[in-house]
Amino acid sequence: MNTMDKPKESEDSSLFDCLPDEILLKIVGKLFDLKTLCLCELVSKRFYRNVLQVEAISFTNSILEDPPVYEGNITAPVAWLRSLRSACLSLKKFGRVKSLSIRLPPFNVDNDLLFKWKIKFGNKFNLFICLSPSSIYPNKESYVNENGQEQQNMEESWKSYNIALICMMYVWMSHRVLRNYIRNIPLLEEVSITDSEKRGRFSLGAGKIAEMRNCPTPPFGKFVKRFMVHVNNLHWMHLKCNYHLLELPISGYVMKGVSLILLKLNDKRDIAVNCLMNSLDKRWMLLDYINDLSIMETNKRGTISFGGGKIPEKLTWCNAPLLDLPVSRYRMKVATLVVCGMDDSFMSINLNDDMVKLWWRFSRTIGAGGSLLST
Amino acid sequence: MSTSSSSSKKIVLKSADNETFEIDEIVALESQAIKNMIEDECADNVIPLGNIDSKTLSKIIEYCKKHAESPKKDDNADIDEKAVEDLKSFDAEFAKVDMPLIQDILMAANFLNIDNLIGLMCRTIADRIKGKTPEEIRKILNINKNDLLSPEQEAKAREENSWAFD
Repeated sequence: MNTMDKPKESEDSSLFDCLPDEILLKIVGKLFDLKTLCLCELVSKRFYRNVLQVEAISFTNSILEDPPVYEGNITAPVAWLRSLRSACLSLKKFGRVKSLSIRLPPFNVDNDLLFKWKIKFGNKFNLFICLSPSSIYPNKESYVNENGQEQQNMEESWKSYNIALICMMYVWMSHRVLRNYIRNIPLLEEVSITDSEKRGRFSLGAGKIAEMRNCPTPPFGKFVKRFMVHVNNLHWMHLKCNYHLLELPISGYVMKGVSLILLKLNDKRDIAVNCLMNSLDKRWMLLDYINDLSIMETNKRGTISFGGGKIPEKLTWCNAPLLDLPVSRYRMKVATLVVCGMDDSFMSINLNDDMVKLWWRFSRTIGAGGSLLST
Repeated sequence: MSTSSSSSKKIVLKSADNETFEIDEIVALESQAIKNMIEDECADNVIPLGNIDSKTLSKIIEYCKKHAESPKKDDNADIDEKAVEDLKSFDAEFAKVDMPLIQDILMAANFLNIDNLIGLMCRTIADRIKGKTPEEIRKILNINKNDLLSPEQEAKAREENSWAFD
Protein backbone atom coordinates (compact mmCIF):
# COMPACT_ATOMS: atom_id res chain seq x y z
CA MET A 1 0.00 0.00 0.00
CA ASN A 2 1.22 3.46 -0.80
CA THR A 3 2.27 5.69 1.94
CA MET A 4 0.98 9.17 2.36
CA ASP A 5 3.07 11.61 4.29
CA LYS A 6 1.24 13.29 7.02
CA PRO A 7 1.88 17.00 6.51
CA LYS A 8 3.82 18.84 9.12
CA GLU A 9 1.82 21.54 10.77
CA SER A 10 3.63 24.77 10.15
CA GLU A 11 2.86 28.32 9.18
CA ASP A 12 3.54 27.75 5.52
CA SER A 13 1.84 24.49 4.97
CA SER A 14 -1.59 23.57 6.22
CA LEU A 15 -3.41 20.31 6.06
CA PHE A 16 -5.78 21.81 3.56
CA ASP A 17 -2.97 22.44 1.10
CA CYS A 18 -2.23 18.73 1.11
CA LEU A 19 -5.66 17.79 -0.12
CA PRO A 20 -5.46 17.02 -3.82
CA ASP A 21 -7.06 19.40 -6.34
CA GLU A 22 -9.56 16.71 -7.14
CA ILE A 23 -10.94 17.02 -3.60
CA LEU A 24 -10.94 20.81 -3.65
CA LEU A 25 -12.91 20.64 -6.88
CA LYS A 26 -15.43 18.38 -5.16
CA ILE A 27 -15.77 20.90 -2.35
CA VAL A 28 -16.32 23.94 -4.55
CA GLY A 29 -18.52 21.76 -6.76
CA LYS A 30 -20.99 21.64 -3.90
CA LEU A 31 -21.34 25.39 -3.60
CA PHE A 32 -23.47 25.94 -6.76
CA ASP A 33 -24.40 29.51 -5.98
CA LEU A 34 -22.64 31.83 -8.42
CA LYS A 35 -22.00 34.58 -5.90
CA THR A 36 -20.45 32.17 -3.41
CA LEU A 37 -18.24 30.81 -6.18
CA CYS A 38 -17.14 34.31 -7.16
CA LEU A 39 -16.10 34.97 -3.56
CA CYS A 40 -14.23 31.68 -3.35
CA GLU A 41 -12.21 32.60 -6.41
CA LEU A 42 -10.46 35.21 -4.30
CA VAL A 43 -9.35 32.83 -1.57
CA SER A 44 -6.18 31.58 -3.21
CA LYS A 45 -4.63 30.69 -6.55
CA ARG A 46 -5.63 27.08 -6.08
CA PHE A 47 -9.20 28.06 -5.29
CA TYR A 48 -9.25 30.34 -8.30
CA ARG A 49 -8.17 27.53 -10.62
CA ASN A 50 -10.60 25.02 -9.19
CA VAL A 51 -13.62 27.27 -8.92
CA LEU A 52 -13.43 27.88 -12.65
CA GLN A 53 -13.76 24.13 -13.26
CA VAL A 54 -17.13 23.61 -11.60
CA GLU A 55 -19.83 21.86 -13.59
CA ALA A 56 -23.01 23.01 -11.87
CA ILE A 57 -23.98 26.58 -11.13
CA SER A 58 -27.14 28.10 -9.81
CA PHE A 59 -28.41 31.65 -9.88
CA THR A 60 -30.17 31.91 -6.59
CA ASN A 61 -31.62 34.97 -4.98
CA SER A 62 -28.26 36.04 -3.67
CA ILE A 63 -27.01 36.70 -7.16
CA LEU A 64 -30.12 38.00 -8.79
CA GLU A 65 -31.31 41.03 -6.91
CA ASP A 66 -34.91 40.69 -5.92
CA PRO A 67 -36.76 43.21 -7.99
CA PRO A 68 -38.98 45.72 -6.28
CA VAL A 69 -42.52 44.56 -5.72
CA TYR A 70 -44.32 44.11 -8.97
CA GLU A 71 -46.65 47.02 -9.45
CA GLY A 72 -48.23 46.48 -12.77
CA ASN A 73 -45.46 47.72 -15.04
CA ILE A 74 -42.40 45.99 -16.31
CA THR A 75 -39.74 48.10 -14.62
CA ALA A 76 -39.18 45.44 -11.97
CA PRO A 77 -38.92 42.51 -14.37
CA VAL A 78 -36.56 44.45 -16.61
CA ALA A 79 -34.29 45.28 -13.66
CA TRP A 80 -34.20 41.60 -12.84
CA LEU A 81 -33.54 40.81 -16.47
CA ARG A 82 -30.42 42.98 -16.40
CA SER A 83 -28.97 41.20 -13.36
CA LEU A 84 -29.71 37.88 -15.00
CA ARG A 85 -27.84 39.03 -18.06
CA SER A 86 -24.77 40.05 -16.03
CA ALA A 87 -24.81 36.66 -14.35
CA CYS A 88 -24.99 34.90 -17.72
CA LEU A 89 -22.17 37.00 -19.11
CA SER A 90 -19.94 36.00 -16.24
CA LEU A 91 -20.43 32.34 -17.08
CA LYS A 92 -18.00 32.83 -19.93
CA LYS A 93 -15.01 32.20 -17.68
CA PHE A 94 -16.50 29.00 -16.28
CA GLY A 95 -15.65 26.77 -19.19
CA ARG A 96 -17.08 23.51 -17.91
CA VAL A 97 -20.58 24.31 -16.75
CA LYS A 98 -22.94 21.48 -17.66
CA SER A 99 -25.86 22.25 -15.46
CA LEU A 100 -27.45 25.57 -14.73
CA SER A 101 -30.38 26.35 -12.52
CA ILE A 102 -32.16 29.65 -12.28
CA ARG A 103 -34.38 30.63 -9.40
CA LEU A 104 -37.11 33.14 -10.17
CA PRO A 105 -37.73 35.98 -7.76
CA PRO A 106 -40.57 35.53 -5.27
CA PHE A 107 -43.96 36.51 -6.61
CA ASN A 108 -44.95 38.20 -3.36
CA VAL A 109 -48.20 36.36 -3.08
CA ASP A 110 -49.90 34.80 -0.10
CA ASN A 111 -48.35 31.50 0.68
CA ASP A 112 -51.69 29.83 0.77
CA LEU A 113 -52.56 30.75 -2.78
CA LEU A 114 -52.82 27.54 -4.72
CA PHE A 115 -51.05 27.98 -7.94
CA LYS A 116 -49.18 25.78 -10.37
CA TRP A 117 -47.63 26.77 -13.63
CA LYS A 118 -46.17 25.24 -16.73
CA ILE A 119 -44.60 26.79 -19.79
CA LYS A 120 -43.75 25.61 -23.26
CA PHE A 121 -41.22 26.97 -25.67
CA GLY A 122 -40.53 26.12 -29.24
CA ASN A 123 -37.79 28.34 -30.51
CA LYS A 124 -39.81 31.14 -29.06
CA PHE A 125 -42.23 31.48 -26.24
CA ASN A 126 -45.12 29.24 -27.05
CA LEU A 127 -47.64 28.71 -24.32
CA PHE A 128 -48.01 29.38 -20.65
CA ILE A 129 -50.57 27.61 -18.55
CA CYS A 130 -51.38 28.00 -14.94
CA LEU A 131 -53.95 26.44 -12.73
CA SER A 132 -55.21 27.97 -9.57
CA PRO A 133 -58.14 26.67 -7.58
CA SER A 134 -59.52 29.04 -4.99
CA SER A 135 -59.66 26.28 -2.42
CA ILE A 136 -59.13 22.59 -1.92
CA TYR A 137 -61.14 20.23 0.26
CA PRO A 138 -59.74 16.94 1.47
CA ASN A 139 -62.80 15.10 0.18
CA LYS A 140 -66.15 15.65 -1.34
CA GLU A 141 -68.02 15.40 1.95
CA SER A 142 -66.11 18.25 3.48
CA TYR A 143 -66.77 20.25 0.38
CA VAL A 144 -70.49 19.61 0.69
CA ASN A 145 -70.40 20.37 4.40
CA GLU A 146 -68.65 23.65 4.01
CA ASN A 147 -70.63 24.09 0.90
CA GLY A 148 -68.80 27.06 -0.41
CA GLN A 149 -71.33 27.84 -3.06
CA GLU A 150 -70.03 31.36 -3.48
CA GLN A 151 -68.58 32.03 -6.84
CA GLN A 152 -64.95 32.61 -7.36
CA ASN A 153 -64.93 36.37 -7.33
CA MET A 154 -63.29 38.64 -9.82
CA GLU A 155 -60.65 39.66 -7.33
CA GLU A 156 -59.36 36.10 -6.92
CA SER A 157 -59.57 35.47 -10.56
CA TRP A 158 -57.59 38.59 -11.20
CA LYS A 159 -54.99 37.68 -8.61
CA SER A 160 -54.29 34.36 -10.29
CA TYR A 161 -54.06 36.05 -13.61
CA ASN A 162 -51.66 38.66 -12.34
CA ILE A 163 -49.34 36.06 -10.89
CA ALA A 164 -49.55 34.03 -14.05
CA LEU A 165 -48.42 37.05 -16.00
CA ILE A 166 -45.47 37.83 -13.71
CA CYS A 167 -44.38 34.24 -13.64
CA MET A 168 -44.62 33.91 -17.38
CA MET A 169 -42.58 37.08 -17.89
CA TYR A 170 -39.77 35.88 -15.64
CA VAL A 171 -39.50 32.47 -17.23
CA TRP A 172 -39.71 33.93 -20.68
CA MET A 173 -36.96 36.41 -19.89
CA SER A 174 -34.73 33.71 -18.45
CA HIS A 175 -35.23 31.62 -21.54
CA ARG A 176 -34.48 34.55 -23.80
CA VAL A 177 -31.33 35.59 -21.93
CA LEU A 178 -30.13 32.04 -22.05
CA ARG A 179 -30.65 31.94 -25.79
CA ASN A 180 -28.52 35.03 -26.15
CA TYR A 181 -25.63 33.86 -24.04
CA ILE A 182 -25.67 30.14 -24.56
CA ARG A 183 -22.52 30.38 -26.64
CA ASN A 184 -20.70 31.36 -23.47
CA ILE A 185 -21.52 27.98 -21.99
CA PRO A 186 -20.27 25.47 -24.55
CA LEU A 187 -20.77 22.31 -22.47
CA LEU A 188 -24.19 23.14 -21.08
CA GLU A 189 -26.53 20.17 -21.18
CA GLU A 190 -29.13 20.80 -18.52
CA VAL A 191 -31.11 23.86 -17.49
CA SER A 192 -33.78 24.19 -14.88
CA ILE A 193 -35.83 27.26 -14.08
CA THR A 194 -38.06 27.27 -11.06
CA ASP A 195 -39.72 29.80 -8.78
CA SER A 196 -38.76 30.16 -5.16
CA GLU A 197 -41.75 28.16 -3.96
CA LYS A 198 -41.44 25.47 -6.61
CA ARG A 199 -44.92 26.03 -7.97
CA GLY A 200 -43.66 25.05 -11.35
CA ARG A 201 -40.50 24.17 -13.20
CA PHE A 202 -39.17 24.53 -16.68
CA SER A 203 -36.28 22.41 -17.80
CA LEU A 204 -34.23 21.96 -20.91
CA GLY A 205 -32.31 18.84 -21.77
CA ALA A 206 -29.32 18.37 -24.04
CA GLY A 207 -31.44 18.07 -27.20
CA LYS A 208 -33.33 21.31 -26.67
CA ILE A 209 -30.14 23.10 -25.74
CA ALA A 210 -28.51 21.98 -28.97
CA GLU A 211 -31.49 23.34 -30.90
CA MET A 212 -31.21 26.58 -29.02
CA ARG A 213 -27.56 26.92 -29.99
CA ASN A 214 -28.38 26.58 -33.66
CA CYS A 215 -31.17 29.07 -33.57
CA PRO A 216 -30.24 32.61 -34.63
CA THR A 217 -30.99 35.14 -31.95
CA PRO A 218 -31.69 38.82 -32.44
CA PRO A 219 -29.64 41.16 -30.24
CA PHE A 220 -30.57 41.41 -26.63
CA GLY A 221 -31.22 45.16 -26.59
CA LYS A 222 -33.86 44.73 -29.22
CA PHE A 223 -35.61 42.14 -27.12
CA VAL A 224 -35.80 44.42 -24.09
CA LYS A 225 -37.19 47.23 -26.21
CA ARG A 226 -39.75 45.00 -27.79
CA PHE A 227 -40.66 43.12 -24.66
CA MET A 228 -43.66 45.33 -23.99
CA VAL A 229 -44.88 44.76 -27.50
CA HIS A 230 -44.48 41.03 -27.03
CA VAL A 231 -46.44 41.12 -23.82
CA ASN A 232 -49.14 43.15 -25.51
CA ASN A 233 -49.37 40.54 -28.19
CA LEU A 234 -50.15 37.80 -25.76
CA HIS A 235 -53.37 36.06 -26.24
CA TRP A 236 -54.99 35.24 -23.12
CA MET A 237 -57.46 32.58 -22.50
CA HIS A 238 -59.05 32.09 -19.20
CA LEU A 239 -61.06 29.04 -18.44
CA LYS A 240 -63.16 30.02 -15.54
CA CYS A 241 -64.99 27.20 -13.94
CA ASN A 242 -67.79 28.61 -11.90
CA TYR A 243 -69.27 25.25 -11.08
CA HIS A 244 -65.71 24.32 -10.84
CA LEU A 245 -65.42 20.97 -9.24
CA LEU A 246 -62.24 19.11 -9.93
CA GLU A 247 -62.26 15.82 -8.09
CA LEU A 248 -58.89 14.25 -7.73
CA PRO A 249 -59.29 10.51 -8.09
CA ILE A 250 -56.50 9.18 -5.94
CA SER A 251 -56.28 11.61 -3.08
CA GLY A 252 -60.01 12.28 -3.19
CA TYR A 253 -59.38 16.00 -2.84
CA VAL A 254 -61.87 18.37 -4.34
CA MET A 255 -60.59 21.54 -5.94
CA LYS A 256 -62.90 24.42 -6.16
CA GLY A 257 -63.02 27.64 -8.12
CA VAL A 258 -60.41 26.51 -10.56
CA SER A 259 -58.84 29.14 -12.75
CA LEU A 260 -57.02 27.85 -15.72
CA ILE A 261 -55.12 30.53 -17.54
CA LEU A 262 -53.43 30.15 -20.86
CA LEU A 263 -51.12 32.73 -22.35
CA LYS A 264 -50.04 32.45 -25.94
CA LEU A 265 -47.99 34.71 -28.12
CA ASN A 266 -49.57 36.21 -31.19
CA ASP A 267 -48.29 34.84 -34.41
CA LYS A 268 -49.04 37.41 -37.08
CA ARG A 269 -49.55 34.79 -39.74
CA ASP A 270 -52.38 33.20 -37.88
CA ILE A 271 -55.50 34.97 -37.11
CA ALA A 272 -56.11 35.13 -33.45
CA VAL A 273 -58.89 32.62 -33.37
CA ASN A 274 -57.07 29.88 -35.18
CA CYS A 275 -54.18 30.33 -32.92
CA LEU A 276 -56.32 29.71 -29.90
CA MET A 277 -58.53 27.10 -31.43
CA ASN A 278 -55.42 25.18 -32.31
CA SER A 279 -54.59 24.85 -28.71
CA LEU A 280 -58.13 23.73 -28.11
CA ASP A 281 -57.84 21.19 -30.86
CA LYS A 282 -55.01 19.74 -28.97
CA ARG A 283 -57.37 19.53 -26.10
CA TRP A 284 -56.11 16.30 -24.76
CA MET A 285 -52.79 18.02 -24.45
CA LEU A 286 -54.48 20.80 -22.62
CA LEU A 287 -56.19 18.36 -20.34
CA ASP A 288 -52.98 16.54 -19.89
CA TYR A 289 -51.71 19.79 -18.50
CA ILE A 290 -54.64 19.89 -16.17
CA ASN A 291 -53.80 16.44 -14.95
CA ASP A 292 -50.23 17.33 -14.61
CA LEU A 293 -50.72 20.63 -12.92
CA SER A 294 -53.45 19.64 -10.58
CA ILE A 295 -51.99 16.72 -8.74
CA MET A 296 -49.56 14.77 -10.80
CA GLU A 297 -51.27 11.59 -9.74
CA THR A 298 -51.31 10.34 -13.27
CA ASN A 299 -48.98 10.92 -16.15
CA LYS A 300 -50.79 8.78 -18.63
CA ARG A 301 -52.50 10.28 -21.58
CA GLY A 302 -55.72 9.25 -23.17
CA THR A 303 -58.30 10.51 -25.57
CA ILE A 304 -60.69 13.06 -24.30
CA SER A 305 -64.35 13.32 -24.99
CA PHE A 306 -66.17 16.55 -24.58
CA GLY A 307 -69.38 15.46 -22.95
CA GLY A 308 -71.07 18.69 -23.85
CA GLY A 309 -70.58 18.05 -27.53
CA LYS A 310 -67.79 18.92 -29.86
CA ILE A 311 -66.62 22.47 -29.59
CA PRO A 312 -67.60 24.15 -32.85
CA GLU A 313 -64.71 25.43 -34.79
CA LYS A 314 -65.41 29.10 -34.58
CA LEU A 315 -67.10 29.35 -31.30
CA THR A 316 -65.35 31.59 -28.87
CA TRP A 317 -67.64 31.23 -25.99
CA CYS A 318 -69.62 28.25 -24.94
CA ASN A 319 -71.64 27.11 -22.00
CA ALA A 320 -71.12 24.25 -19.67
CA PRO A 321 -69.30 21.60 -21.62
CA LEU A 322 -68.45 18.61 -19.54
CA LEU A 323 -64.88 17.48 -19.70
CA ASP A 324 -64.38 13.87 -18.77
CA LEU A 325 -60.80 12.90 -18.32
CA PRO A 326 -60.63 9.21 -19.09
CA VAL A 327 -57.48 8.26 -17.31
CA SER A 328 -57.85 10.16 -14.12
CA ARG A 329 -61.63 10.09 -14.41
CA TYR A 330 -61.86 13.72 -13.40
CA ARG A 331 -64.97 15.42 -14.46
CA MET A 332 -64.67 19.12 -15.08
CA LYS A 333 -67.78 21.05 -15.47
CA VAL A 334 -66.83 24.22 -17.19
CA ALA A 335 -69.46 26.84 -16.84
CA THR A 336 -67.95 29.38 -19.12
CA LEU A 337 -65.27 28.84 -21.60
CA VAL A 338 -64.04 32.16 -22.86
CA VAL A 339 -61.65 32.59 -25.66
CA CYS A 340 -60.49 36.07 -26.41
CA GLY A 341 -58.24 37.37 -29.07
CA MET A 342 -56.86 40.67 -30.20
CA ASP A 343 -59.12 40.54 -33.18
CA ASP A 344 -61.81 43.22 -33.09
CA SER A 345 -64.66 40.94 -34.02
CA PHE A 346 -63.80 38.71 -31.15
CA MET A 347 -63.64 41.53 -28.76
CA SER A 348 -67.16 42.47 -29.64
CA ILE A 349 -68.43 38.98 -29.08
CA ASN A 350 -66.71 38.57 -25.81
CA LEU A 351 -67.44 41.78 -24.10
CA ASN A 352 -69.72 40.72 -21.38
CA ASP A 353 -69.38 42.38 -18.00
CA ASP A 354 -66.76 40.10 -16.60
CA MET A 355 -64.69 40.36 -19.68
CA VAL A 356 -64.72 44.11 -19.59
CA LYS A 357 -63.37 44.08 -16.09
CA LEU A 358 -60.71 41.52 -16.92
CA TRP A 359 -59.61 43.28 -20.02
CA TRP A 360 -59.37 46.48 -18.13
CA ARG A 361 -57.16 44.89 -15.49
CA PHE A 362 -55.16 43.13 -18.12
CA SER A 363 -54.50 46.33 -20.04
CA ARG A 364 -53.52 48.13 -16.88
CA THR A 365 -51.03 45.46 -15.91
CA ILE A 366 -49.20 45.49 -19.11
CA GLY A 367 -49.22 49.24 -19.18
CA ALA A 368 -51.14 49.47 -22.37
CA GLY A 369 -53.65 51.90 -20.96
CA GLY A 370 -57.10 51.74 -22.36
CA SER A 371 -56.07 51.07 -25.90
CA LEU A 372 -57.31 47.50 -25.86
CA LEU A 373 -60.69 48.61 -24.74
CA SER A 374 -61.11 51.34 -27.26
CA THR A 375 -62.02 48.89 -29.99
CA MET B 1 -9.94 -3.44 20.23
CA SER B 2 -12.70 -5.91 19.62
CA THR B 3 -15.78 -4.56 17.98
CA SER B 4 -17.97 -7.51 17.28
CA SER B 5 -18.47 -11.03 18.49
CA SER B 6 -20.05 -12.39 15.33
CA SER B 7 -18.38 -15.21 13.54
CA SER B 8 -17.75 -13.28 10.31
CA LYS B 9 -14.30 -12.72 8.98
CA LYS B 10 -12.24 -10.10 10.78
CA ILE B 11 -9.83 -7.53 9.48
CA VAL B 12 -7.36 -5.71 11.66
CA LEU B 13 -6.37 -2.14 10.88
CA LYS B 14 -3.33 -0.58 12.45
CA SER B 15 -3.10 3.17 12.84
CA ALA B 16 0.00 5.36 12.56
CA ASP B 17 0.31 5.39 16.33
CA ASN B 18 0.22 1.58 16.37
CA GLU B 19 -3.25 1.12 17.74
CA THR B 20 -5.07 -1.86 16.25
CA PHE B 21 -8.73 -2.03 15.36
CA GLU B 22 -10.40 -5.35 14.69
CA ILE B 23 -13.45 -4.96 12.51
CA ASP B 24 -15.79 -7.16 10.49
CA GLU B 25 -14.68 -7.59 6.94
CA ILE B 26 -18.00 -6.20 5.75
CA VAL B 27 -17.23 -2.94 7.52
CA ALA B 28 -13.78 -2.76 5.96
CA LEU B 29 -15.30 -3.31 2.53
CA GLU B 30 -16.82 0.16 2.68
CA SER B 31 -13.32 1.24 1.71
CA GLN B 32 -12.78 0.63 -1.97
CA ALA B 33 -9.02 0.58 -1.40
CA ILE B 34 -9.24 -2.18 1.24
CA LYS B 35 -11.77 -4.04 -0.87
CA ASN B 36 -9.33 -4.07 -3.77
CA MET B 37 -6.56 -5.31 -1.52
CA ILE B 38 -8.72 -8.12 -0.19
CA GLU B 39 -9.88 -9.09 -3.66
CA ASP B 40 -6.32 -9.09 -4.92
CA GLU B 41 -5.43 -11.19 -1.91
CA CYS B 42 -2.64 -8.88 -0.98
CA ALA B 43 -4.00 -8.06 2.43
CA ASP B 44 -2.44 -9.69 5.44
CA ASN B 45 -4.47 -10.11 8.54
CA VAL B 46 -3.23 -6.77 9.71
CA ILE B 47 -3.42 -3.78 7.39
CA PRO B 48 -1.07 -0.99 8.44
CA LEU B 49 -2.32 2.52 7.79
CA GLY B 50 0.83 4.47 8.42
CA ASN B 51 -0.70 7.82 7.62
CA ILE B 52 -3.89 7.70 9.65
CA ASP B 53 -3.83 8.36 13.36
CA SER B 54 -6.03 6.44 15.77
CA LYS B 55 -8.41 9.33 16.42
CA THR B 56 -9.17 9.70 12.73
CA LEU B 57 -9.27 5.97 12.15
CA SER B 58 -11.78 5.35 14.92
CA LYS B 59 -14.05 8.04 13.44
CA ILE B 60 -13.79 6.40 10.06
CA ILE B 61 -14.59 2.99 11.46
CA GLU B 62 -17.60 4.47 13.24
CA TYR B 63 -18.81 5.79 9.90
CA CYS B 64 -18.16 2.59 7.97
CA LYS B 65 -19.90 0.45 10.59
CA LYS B 66 -23.04 2.53 10.46
CA HIS B 67 -23.09 2.56 6.69
CA ALA B 68 -22.31 -1.16 6.40
CA GLU B 69 -25.25 -1.93 8.70
CA SER B 70 -27.70 0.22 6.77
CA PRO B 71 -29.53 -1.27 3.82
CA LYS B 72 -27.99 -0.25 0.54
CA LYS B 73 -30.07 1.69 -1.91
CA ASP B 74 -29.50 -0.64 -4.83
CA ASP B 75 -30.29 -3.75 -2.77
CA ASN B 76 -33.89 -2.92 -2.49
CA ALA B 77 -35.87 -0.31 -4.34
CA ASP B 78 -38.25 0.33 -1.49
CA ILE B 79 -36.01 0.50 1.53
CA ASP B 80 -37.90 2.02 4.35
CA GLU B 81 -37.69 5.75 4.74
CA LYS B 82 -36.86 5.48 8.39
CA ALA B 83 -33.52 3.85 7.64
CA VAL B 84 -32.72 6.64 5.17
CA GLU B 85 -33.66 9.30 7.70
CA ASP B 86 -31.68 7.53 10.36
CA LEU B 87 -28.58 7.46 8.19
CA LYS B 88 -29.04 11.11 7.32
CA SER B 89 -29.17 12.19 10.94
CA PHE B 90 -26.18 9.98 11.69
CA ASP B 91 -24.23 11.74 8.93
CA ALA B 92 -25.27 15.14 10.24
CA GLU B 93 -24.11 14.27 13.76
CA PHE B 94 -20.95 12.66 12.45
CA ALA B 95 -19.94 15.85 10.66
CA LYS B 96 -20.17 17.98 13.79
CA VAL B 97 -16.43 18.02 14.44
CA ASP B 98 -13.75 20.67 14.16
CA MET B 99 -12.17 21.62 10.88
CA PRO B 100 -8.75 19.94 11.42
CA LEU B 101 -10.46 16.61 12.12
CA ILE B 102 -12.71 17.04 9.10
CA GLN B 103 -9.65 17.54 6.96
CA ASP B 104 -7.91 14.55 8.53
CA ILE B 105 -10.95 12.41 7.86
CA LEU B 106 -11.23 13.73 4.32
CA MET B 107 -7.60 13.01 3.61
CA ALA B 108 -7.87 9.49 5.04
CA ALA B 109 -11.20 8.82 3.29
CA ASN B 110 -9.61 9.88 0.04
CA PHE B 111 -6.71 7.52 0.69
CA LEU B 112 -9.01 4.65 1.64
CA ASN B 113 -11.37 5.57 -1.17
CA ILE B 114 -14.63 5.74 0.74
CA ASP B 115 -16.83 7.60 -1.67
CA ASN B 116 -19.77 8.50 0.58
CA LEU B 117 -17.51 9.76 3.29
CA ILE B 118 -15.55 11.92 0.86
CA GLY B 119 -18.86 13.39 -0.31
CA LEU B 120 -20.05 14.03 3.23
CA MET B 121 -16.84 15.77 4.26
CA CYS B 122 -16.75 17.89 1.08
CA ARG B 123 -20.34 18.93 1.69
CA THR B 124 -19.52 19.81 5.27
CA ILE B 125 -16.62 22.00 4.25
CA ALA B 126 -18.72 23.61 1.52
CA ASP B 127 -21.46 24.40 4.05
CA ARG B 128 -18.94 26.00 6.37
CA ILE B 129 -17.48 28.33 3.78
CA LYS B 130 -20.82 29.38 2.28
CA GLY B 131 -21.56 33.04 2.82
CA LYS B 132 -18.06 33.77 4.15
CA THR B 133 -15.62 36.38 2.88
CA PRO B 134 -12.39 35.19 1.22
CA GLU B 135 -10.47 36.29 4.33
CA GLU B 136 -12.74 34.23 6.59
CA ILE B 137 -12.41 31.21 4.33
CA ARG B 138 -8.61 31.44 4.45
CA LYS B 139 -8.81 31.44 8.21
CA ILE B 140 -11.28 28.56 8.43
CA LEU B 141 -9.20 26.36 6.15
CA ASN B 142 -5.80 27.69 7.20
CA ILE B 143 -4.82 28.42 3.61
CA ASN B 144 -1.14 28.70 2.79
CA LYS B 145 -0.25 32.37 2.53
CA ASN B 146 2.17 31.69 -0.30
CA ASP B 147 -0.72 30.73 -2.50
CA LEU B 148 -2.66 33.99 -2.30
CA LEU B 149 -3.53 35.79 -5.51
CA SER B 150 -1.21 38.65 -6.32
CA PRO B 151 -2.75 42.10 -5.79
CA GLU B 152 -3.04 42.46 -9.56
CA GLN B 153 -4.76 39.09 -9.96
CA GLU B 154 -7.12 39.86 -7.12
CA ALA B 155 -8.00 43.26 -8.54
CA LYS B 156 -8.69 41.68 -11.90
CA ALA B 157 -10.92 38.98 -10.42
CA ARG B 158 -12.79 41.54 -8.37
CA GLU B 159 -13.35 43.65 -11.41
CA GLU B 160 -14.68 40.70 -13.38
CA ASN B 161 -17.10 39.99 -10.59
CA SER B 162 -17.93 43.56 -9.70
CA TRP B 163 -21.53 43.06 -10.78
CA ALA B 164 -21.93 40.46 -8.05
CA PHE B 165 -20.26 42.44 -5.29
CA ASP B 166 -22.16 45.70 -5.93
